[in-house]
Amino acid sequence: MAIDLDRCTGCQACVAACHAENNLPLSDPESAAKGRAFHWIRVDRYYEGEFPSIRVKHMPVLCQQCDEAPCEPVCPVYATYRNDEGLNVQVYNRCVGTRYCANNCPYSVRFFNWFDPVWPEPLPLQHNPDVSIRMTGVMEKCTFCIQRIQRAERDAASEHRQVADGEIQPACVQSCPAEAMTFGDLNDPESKVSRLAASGRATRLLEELGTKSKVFYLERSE
Amino acid sequence: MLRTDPWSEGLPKRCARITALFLLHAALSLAAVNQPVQFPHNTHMKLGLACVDCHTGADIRAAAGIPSVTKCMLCHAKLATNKPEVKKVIQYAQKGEEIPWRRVYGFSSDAHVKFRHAPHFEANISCATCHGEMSQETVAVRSIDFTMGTCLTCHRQRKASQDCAACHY
Amino acid sequence: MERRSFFKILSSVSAGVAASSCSNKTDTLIPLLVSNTEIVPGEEQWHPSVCSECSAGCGVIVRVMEGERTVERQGHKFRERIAAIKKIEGNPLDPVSGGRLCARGQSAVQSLYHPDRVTAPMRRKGTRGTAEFVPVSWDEAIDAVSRSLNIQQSADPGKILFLTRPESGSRSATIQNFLSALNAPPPLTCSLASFAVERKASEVVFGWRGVPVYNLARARYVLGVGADFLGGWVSPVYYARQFGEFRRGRPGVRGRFIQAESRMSLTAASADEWLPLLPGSEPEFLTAVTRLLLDARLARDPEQLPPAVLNSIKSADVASLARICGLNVNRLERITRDLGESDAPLVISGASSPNTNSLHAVAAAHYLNALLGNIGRPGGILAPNQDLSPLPLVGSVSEKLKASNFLLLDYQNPVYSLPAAAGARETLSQLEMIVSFSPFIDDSSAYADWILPDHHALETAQAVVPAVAPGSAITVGLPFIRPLYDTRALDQTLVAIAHKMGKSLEPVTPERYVKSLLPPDQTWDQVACRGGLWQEAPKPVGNEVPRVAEAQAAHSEIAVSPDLARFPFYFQPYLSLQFHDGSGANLPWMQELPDPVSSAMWNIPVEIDPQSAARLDIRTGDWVRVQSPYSSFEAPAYVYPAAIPGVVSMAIGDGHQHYGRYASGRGANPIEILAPVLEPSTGTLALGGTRVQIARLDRAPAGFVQFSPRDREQGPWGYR
Repeated sequence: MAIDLDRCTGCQACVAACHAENNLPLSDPESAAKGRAFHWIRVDRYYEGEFPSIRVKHMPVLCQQCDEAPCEPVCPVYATYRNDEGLNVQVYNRCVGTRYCANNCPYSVRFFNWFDPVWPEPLPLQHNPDVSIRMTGVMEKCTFCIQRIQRAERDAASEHRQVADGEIQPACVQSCPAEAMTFGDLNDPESKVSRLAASGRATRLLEELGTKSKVFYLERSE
Repeated sequence: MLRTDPWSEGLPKRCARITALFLLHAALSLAAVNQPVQFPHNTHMKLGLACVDCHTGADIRAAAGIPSVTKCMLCHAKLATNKPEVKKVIQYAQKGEEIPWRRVYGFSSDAHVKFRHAPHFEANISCATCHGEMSQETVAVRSIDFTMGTCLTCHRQRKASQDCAACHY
Repeated sequence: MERRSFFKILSSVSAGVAASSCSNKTDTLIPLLVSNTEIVPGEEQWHPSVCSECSAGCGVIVRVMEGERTVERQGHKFRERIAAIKKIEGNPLDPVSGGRLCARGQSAVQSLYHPDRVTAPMRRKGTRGTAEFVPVSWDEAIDAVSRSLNIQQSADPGKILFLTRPESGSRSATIQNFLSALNAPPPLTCSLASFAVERKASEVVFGWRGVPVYNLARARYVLGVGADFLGGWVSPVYYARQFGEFRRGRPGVRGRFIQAESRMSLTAASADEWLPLLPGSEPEFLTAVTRLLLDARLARDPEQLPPAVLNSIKSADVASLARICGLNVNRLERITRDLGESDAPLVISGASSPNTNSLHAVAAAHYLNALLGNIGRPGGILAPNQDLSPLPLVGSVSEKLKASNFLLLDYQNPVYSLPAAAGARETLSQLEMIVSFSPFIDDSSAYADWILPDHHALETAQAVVPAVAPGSAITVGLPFIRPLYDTRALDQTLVAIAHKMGKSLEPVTPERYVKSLLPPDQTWDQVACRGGLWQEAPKPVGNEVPRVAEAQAAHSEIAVSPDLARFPFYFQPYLSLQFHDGSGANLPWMQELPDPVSSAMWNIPVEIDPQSAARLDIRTGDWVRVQSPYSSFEAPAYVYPAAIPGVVSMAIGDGHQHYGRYASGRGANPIEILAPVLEPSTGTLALGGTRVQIARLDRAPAGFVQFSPRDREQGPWGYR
């Protein structure tokens, strides 16, 4: 994935899209105060300088799907691992809730289900049947909308063709009004996301940690 | 929303859930489920109907559909109208209600399985592999018991994906 | 979603709508109204509709799949599988949303499935304002309402007041027909998101009806003044899309963007340079820039301006104007030069926080655009999507409320959106009769005698004219799911009431609304299938450029309460992207969406600059009392490094007494303490017309929750 910070306006359409797509538990003021609110994607803000020559920068942060993910080696039950496609997968069935992974994630993008999620009726009508409802005691995080990836791959397979570049759009990418986010195959050097990642503006978050993350941020340059 | 601290509640709750899962599993496998209409699969299949004629979508979609009462009435408006079970169907149709079929196969939501029929159909796996020879059965029961082992054995043999995320997400 | 796949899906959505008109791939025909048996587990359908969360009128597509709910029938509870809405995305065919959608629009599904919706018509039980109601039948409710409306109508139809949304379309056409059948005055709106000043300025200067369209995507140098167009302004999705194009959509071209605003808004944060204007100094700023432009001989079309305007600009003194704005002249000169020398300059202006002099500000920006030769030019300012029916007026609602007897409320909340000093509560307790059509019991519906709940927008048929669109546009939504409750569409209710009163009233259906405008090569079926009727803007005849007329602005100086010693801070409530005019506060996703400024969840803070905060010993999370000459409220403080010293801002949204479980009793309403000062040309409430004092409260910091805590903002990634 590539995120163009020069296009991003910080509007958080991606955040709402993620909630709608992935059945994220609702928080309430009490749980939020304990740091238990869920946002698989968030928009961080940074201040540079001081008034009056201050600048505010917005930066969407989601699971960086690291190739050398700090969360993986600390899981005692292999509930989180890197699959063949390069996704950092979280298997709810395996997770026993040690929370070591969240502790070890430098991006703070993992969330623990302290309770079974509660939705007053009839809000559950909105639940996306393509995505599991997670239960007490498991960790969850951004999946790059694996359900959309799988659907697109299956559709392509049954039509005997390759998945086209740009065909798969995670919910956040789909919703972004400024088209700041691009999703695609980094292994394909011709894909749009590869070209963006290779452009001079691309950096990675906390690159010095050697996580080899797969989200590229295109800097806001003049 | 009254909430106590997590693990004091969470752990027993999880145990209870696992027990419930076993019970559900047992119940399903014992399931000579009490269906509202004693539908004879064998009779229909002898007449030359294929599974997907009624369970539409099993070949091209995620789910195998359950026919609506309207579909039953396509034939039974005229055929075998005097049989007691068919009369029940007609009654539902006349009331404009759907037949409240009980589910026989399926995954509990705790299994976090996203099963799709279509890819399995495309891989030429016969319905009987997972659902038994329905041409020999009357009312559907869960005659084949599948676990993740069953799925994985087949996936290994056929070199299908063994990635957790292929099914669990 | 890609256009290709959307067409594929549309083909299966054909309906009572003829199949052939949509597409040729019609293997599965699904009636427009999805019956529950036609929902196949695991399969999705997409239906076009229109978003009604704000007046931008974005075209959307809605994902329908199976859903389960608990129903009770004959004493038995059981689970029922129904066709349910799962997700709302932008309609890729719609030129406004272009397949994208803002956070608020995506949350519309939560107002549909909100646990606190009004599920049946209701009659008041307790005293007004206590929100105690008993459910009644539709017949009883319609009977009672039409009887007393009849009495009022024969006595004095002038005392009937209908408040509705600032939106034009089939729904508002029905309302206007209903009122004219009763000889009652046309509807008014008290929404804070009416953008009446922008409309008025474009009418006065260009003779245009509606909010003008800024062709941001094709501009190269943009000066924004007072319009938070990427935040809670007229059409956030449309302008955010344009902004993406403006920045990085053209090979080798990156648009440069300067924002002059009295707040570091989302828009100012996206700018290359922010000019912190003192509140209400927009006219001075624009006059100074215009004067500098003329002096530098960079004006392309000086004859465009009326001589009186030109003279007053030429007599302006840049140095003193710059002082009023709080800016330095050299900086203004540099920006004017860059603007004037750019090959595609554009000035975007608006009144995100209207002041008494806002008409003057927006008009001044129009003059500047005229000097730059921008009127009707690609990359310039374009004629608006002409409103087909008159919009509800804004004009001094509190006066009208006091003068009326019979009040009808359609998604309007005067108790919330008028300052306490306007006395809406007292007025509402004394009115003869109040009828609300709102699907939620909000602060004003709590005073209603009858609630005749409307369907949710996604359950009803409507055609909406988007506030801003390239070319002419009508977005259409037809129902495709069954109404969840015993509610009725507003037009149905109005027709029933009119008939009971012996008046004839035909509802304006979307079909009727659109049919008269259909070009010969399109059918209604096609419009319904696509979700709207979109056409190129009509080409102007000859090289006609609209006349530029002089705006007779009453005040060029901002009027605020005078006591500067006691009330040293400017106070500016603003429309945020998530809550807009406050109507988004009942949606849990919006409440837990971290505020873009403060990252606050479930509570909106008061934004105060670090200097003043240090002087008053206020830290982020401390509780403060904000006191105006009229009233006060308490809220947590957020020390905002980018706030202008002496200017205190707060997003509108919290402070509802009644508005469902997620909003009721949460936080404070900044409107409440405002001076009842109006923008004189339109009667819009001047959000920026009040000064306040602030004091820290001796209370333990609690209740202020930030999603991204402070240490993430400052310094490197230390936070874990």
